[in-house]
Amino acid sequence: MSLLDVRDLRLIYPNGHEALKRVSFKAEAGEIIALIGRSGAGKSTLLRCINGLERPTEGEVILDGQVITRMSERQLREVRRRIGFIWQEHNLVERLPVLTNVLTGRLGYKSGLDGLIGYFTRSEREVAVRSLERVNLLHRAKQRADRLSGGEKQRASIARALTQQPRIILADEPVASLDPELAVQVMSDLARVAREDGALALISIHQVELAKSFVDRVIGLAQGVVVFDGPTDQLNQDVMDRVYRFDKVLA
Amino acid sequence: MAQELPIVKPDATGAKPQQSAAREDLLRPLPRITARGLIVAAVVFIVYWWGVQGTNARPSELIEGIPNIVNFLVRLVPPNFDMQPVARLPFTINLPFTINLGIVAPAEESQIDVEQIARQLEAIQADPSNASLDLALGDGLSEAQEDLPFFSWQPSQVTHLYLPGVVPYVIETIQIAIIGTTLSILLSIPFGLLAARNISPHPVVYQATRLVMNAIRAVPELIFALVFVAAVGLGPFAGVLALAIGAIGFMAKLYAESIEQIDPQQVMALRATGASGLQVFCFSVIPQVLPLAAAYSLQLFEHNVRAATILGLVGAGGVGFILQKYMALFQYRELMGAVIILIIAVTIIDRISDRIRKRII
Repeated sequence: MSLLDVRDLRLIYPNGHEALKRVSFKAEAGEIIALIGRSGAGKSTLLRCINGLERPTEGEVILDGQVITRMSERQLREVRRRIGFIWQEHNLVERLPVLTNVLTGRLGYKSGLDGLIGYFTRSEREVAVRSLERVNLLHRAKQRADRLSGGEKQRASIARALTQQPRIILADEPVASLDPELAVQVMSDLARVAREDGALALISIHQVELAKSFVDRVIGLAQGVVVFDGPTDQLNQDVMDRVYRFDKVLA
Repeated sequence: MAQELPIVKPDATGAKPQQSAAREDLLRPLPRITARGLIVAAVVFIVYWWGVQGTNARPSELIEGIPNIVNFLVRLVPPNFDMQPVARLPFTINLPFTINLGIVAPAEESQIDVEQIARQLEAIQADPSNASLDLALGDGLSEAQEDLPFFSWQPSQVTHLYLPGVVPYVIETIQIAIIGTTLSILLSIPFGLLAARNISPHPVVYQATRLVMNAIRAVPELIFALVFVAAVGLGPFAGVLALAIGAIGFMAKLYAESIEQIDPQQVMALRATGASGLQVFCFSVIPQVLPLAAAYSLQLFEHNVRAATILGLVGAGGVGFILQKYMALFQYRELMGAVIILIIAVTIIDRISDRIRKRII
């Protein structure tokens, strides 16, 4: 049984736009997968379906044998706490210190009043501090999130995801707003920690060349359809054309 | 490469007159006079004329009133601070001059000097033909000082620490503002949550809350003060309640708008970690709203210090009562003294609150 099984996913937005047509793939724990495709190909939508932020119109997402597409919001919470999500705009709570931001990764495991007033136990703090160490950001722990540079913010959001002790890490264009050098740093951090934890990482990314050096497998999306799914070394010009210039290839 | 506007030459056939007219319009330094513009101008003129008629706002009335204003201003100076003795100093300060600040004699000196009266009584008994009794009452000194000039080179002694008589009332005003503001904030928060579009549990709740808030906002604080004076009696507690209820409509709206301005992405990111609705609220909504909400709350406090001044006019405690008393007794110099103290107090409060605001934003 695969860790993640996406079956015939179809999603039509209320405005009639069909973001995903029929997307199917399986992924195992420990895989690092790049999700490539043009803007609007459905990459973000797919990632958001996997952690239940979007409900697909048809099809199923099965995680570890559990069909998450049919879960209630309450059940989803339990699933989500093991899914780290990294956003293009990091989405840290700017006014809170870095450590508190990272600790929010533990909230999914807490239900009492202590979680609301910001009381985290020693062992929870241990997890958060460990996560910050792994992305070399411990020296920034007490600073407010808005004081960090772009690359540091993204690394802090990786630390937040790691604090969830995730089985899956979903990253929605994590390096799109970074300069090339920082992008390499963040990508290597992301791939490294995912590998160390044996987590499945699904990273949507535009910089295909950058992705190649860090991932094992590539899934190419075009207009809501999977047009390529294979190991990184099979990625050739023909595939690239199918993913990025499908309109011209057809014409 | 700058893109140039296409230059359309007016040609004989008039093929593109519209376009060239539009271009011409852009070049016009003054706006064109249109029928619409004239109508708007006429409406504005009529509204103002109507307003001036209704309020009798005429320069001639003001000019005729100038002597009255001058008379009033003259009677305001020099200010009299209605100084009250607070404590006896352990030493006596001898000054080569006297500044008349309207000092009231210390209580112990205002007591009747029994020995002196006894001596006078003996004198009267000895010689009843020359009977006059001088009761050295404290008020006598106060009355005497009224006639003294504001400044004179007459030596004087300071034996007591004096405070302007209005100070306890200013302090009470500030106390009303602090407690009233705090209560108001506490009461406004739940309304603010219900009235924020992105947090409110249901559109019906949202609309209903807005309706209640608008209703409260329509009633001035003074009216609330009258109601609470009737309910809990004269005194500062009525003022506290008036401020607490009166500001809900206003504050809840400001809180709601602060909540509506938060970044939904930061909220979404926490939801994606599996955090519950309440956790998301505590860790993402509150930190984002806090600086704005705190700034608004400080503003409310500053406003309430002034509002609490007015509340005294209807007996809801605070300095307003004293101002009204001075005015009713035509004690304009004492009124001026009280106003000066009030201005100083309000300025200090505004400065402190500015400091706090800078620290939290």
